[in-house]
Amino acid sequence: MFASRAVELIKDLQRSDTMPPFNEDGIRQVLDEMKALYEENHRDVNATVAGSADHFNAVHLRHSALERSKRCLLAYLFTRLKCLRDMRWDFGSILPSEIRFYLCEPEVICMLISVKLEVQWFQAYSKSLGMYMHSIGRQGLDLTQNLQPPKSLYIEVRCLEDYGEIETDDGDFLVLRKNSTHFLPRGQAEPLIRQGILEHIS
Amino acid sequence: MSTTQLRSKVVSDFKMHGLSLRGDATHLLVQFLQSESETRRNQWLERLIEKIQGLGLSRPVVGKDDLKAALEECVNAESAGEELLLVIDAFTVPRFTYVPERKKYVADSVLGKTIPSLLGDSDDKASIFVKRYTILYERMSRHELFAPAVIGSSKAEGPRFTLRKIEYLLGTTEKLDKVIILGMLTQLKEGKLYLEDPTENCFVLVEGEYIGSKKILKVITLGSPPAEPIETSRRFLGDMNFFGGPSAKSLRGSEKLKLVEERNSEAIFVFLSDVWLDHPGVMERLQTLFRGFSDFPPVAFVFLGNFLHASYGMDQAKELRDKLKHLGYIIISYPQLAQASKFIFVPGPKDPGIGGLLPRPMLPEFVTQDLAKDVPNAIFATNPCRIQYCTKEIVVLREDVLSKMCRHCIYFPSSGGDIAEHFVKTICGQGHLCPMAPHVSPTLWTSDHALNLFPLPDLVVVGDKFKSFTESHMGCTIINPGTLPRNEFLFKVYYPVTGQVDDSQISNLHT
Repeated sequence: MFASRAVELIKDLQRSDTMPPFNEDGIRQVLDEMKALYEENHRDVNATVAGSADHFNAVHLRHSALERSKRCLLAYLFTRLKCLRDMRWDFGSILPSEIRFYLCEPEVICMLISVKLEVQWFQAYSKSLGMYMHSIGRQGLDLTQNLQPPKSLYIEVRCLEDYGEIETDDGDFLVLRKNSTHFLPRGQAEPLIRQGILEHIS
Repeated sequence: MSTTQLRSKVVSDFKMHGLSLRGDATHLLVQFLQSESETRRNQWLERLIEKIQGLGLSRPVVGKDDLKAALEECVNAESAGEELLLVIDAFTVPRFTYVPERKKYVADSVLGKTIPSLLGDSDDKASIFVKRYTILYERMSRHELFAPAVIGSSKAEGPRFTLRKIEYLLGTTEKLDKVIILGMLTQLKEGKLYLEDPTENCFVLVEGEYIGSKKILKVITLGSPPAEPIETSRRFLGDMNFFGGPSAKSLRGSEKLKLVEERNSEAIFVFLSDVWLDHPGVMERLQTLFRGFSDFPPVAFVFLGNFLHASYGMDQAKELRDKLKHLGYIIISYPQLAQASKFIFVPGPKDPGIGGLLPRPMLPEFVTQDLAKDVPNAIFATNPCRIQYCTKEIVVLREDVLSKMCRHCIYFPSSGGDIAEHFVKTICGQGHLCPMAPHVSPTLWTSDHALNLFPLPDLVVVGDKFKSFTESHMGCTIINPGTLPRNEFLFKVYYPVTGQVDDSQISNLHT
């Protein structure tokens, strides 16, 4: 059936909870199909212009199939971008390497269609967000912090590995050793907790 | 701005972009930025953060080394990895492994594989052929004969096939009418041919009938796997740098280099093979050659070995050293040439050093040091070596591949035709420079990937004692300059911009 492969792409995306790997083969097949449909249509339209009226319905059908494939592809890409945007808020500006492998690699596809490549898009988004956060107030405001209202400004944390020296916002140095406990500002501790270096002791 | 203020600004700037700095990195950066003006500082920070995000860190924590790498990239952002002419050592050619789950080639360094030592163990030998097989199998499966049908196309399409592995045949008990398998043809016993999954040798596509109950495969046709044009390969592979060199991306797509290349439309490469420096007449002809080119220096002269014709026993190395020194004198007597052109020396199998094993290292320093002192533009390369000129990729090999292939082939093309054409199709199809059994053409197990021709480069130079030829297949040009003194001093000139190859001859002005 026409456009069934494109629908399959969308279904794949819907079935998985997390972002699935970029389905390069699937996209390529859809694009091949679209190309074939377009060429057929092009031929028939030329025939119609030349006077024959037999191809009218076929052209219509193919055109709808083309449009549907296109919509599906765009939906596929857009949903993935939305996932990526959420990841910027969850993981910060550096994605874990497992996820990075799932993204659309530069230039694999772009010779066929111009996709704003996912890796580049993520970096650009990250940059825009950074610039925006920097422009708020005099010193900038980190919006990714305190996504939920904090109960306390300081939290007690335990260090899970020998991490070494870090610098706090007020310019002090702090040495994180394994199993040492610290009383840190929430904003300072949060990114380290996300990376699994610190553990929150409640 | 005081140091502490600058410090907290740096830390907060990085934090806004989701990065945190380690203590030593902050220290380094603050030192670096202190002397800059306010606006320059902001520019630097912005560029640095961008570079760091592109570094591919595994954690959002920037250490001193990461910062240094980013700083270096910023400082020479323009020229990083984009030299015009680059000679790539066969031992530094990047390794890639096909990962079926991701359907992608991934660099071994990313996969965390250790780089094996020069002499590998038995696993390395096995993996050579597995790798070659996967490359071919993967390439075949996207060939239009085997790729899944496109819906909606009503074009009269040729028959489509499914590519099978030999394991599949062994497992089935049915009778299959048309099967196509990719396997390796070997001759385990004299006169008896075997088809194997990856072991060693050349790979063939076999079409035939299979009777599962009797385990008989009736072969109808046997063919070489078709090659794939570079554009198609690139579409599937992306811009990964398979060729080698410091750049992470393939330089084929570099707009900047393309421009430079087009601007130097007069650029040429000169290839000479079997430059027997001890052969009477060779030195004089070379002098004639240099004189002819001295007003239009080519990008590079590529001299392929063997550099000596006669055997000097113990004095081989010393003799070669003297001859190369003499060549150096000749070169510096044309100062324009010595300054503008590169001189690339690719050793042959009989030159001093480890011969007969591919890839072989460059000429020993003892032999070359006199020439290198006189001619700083001399580059001593490995055999095979790869040359990147702007966007063009050139692979150079000095080995009698064609002659060896003819001697060991199972079925000599009886229909006549051009032997060179058959040869070109074979090496492009096999995606390897020496697709022969290991006892015929031994390779270093751990560096066999340096002989790969996948994706196809723009030009392959094979120095063979066979007569010289120029052939083109799937957008890849393959040339053999031929033995220089035996071939009436014929050599090849390559124009990178047009991809054109010309035959030239050194005439003797003295006679």
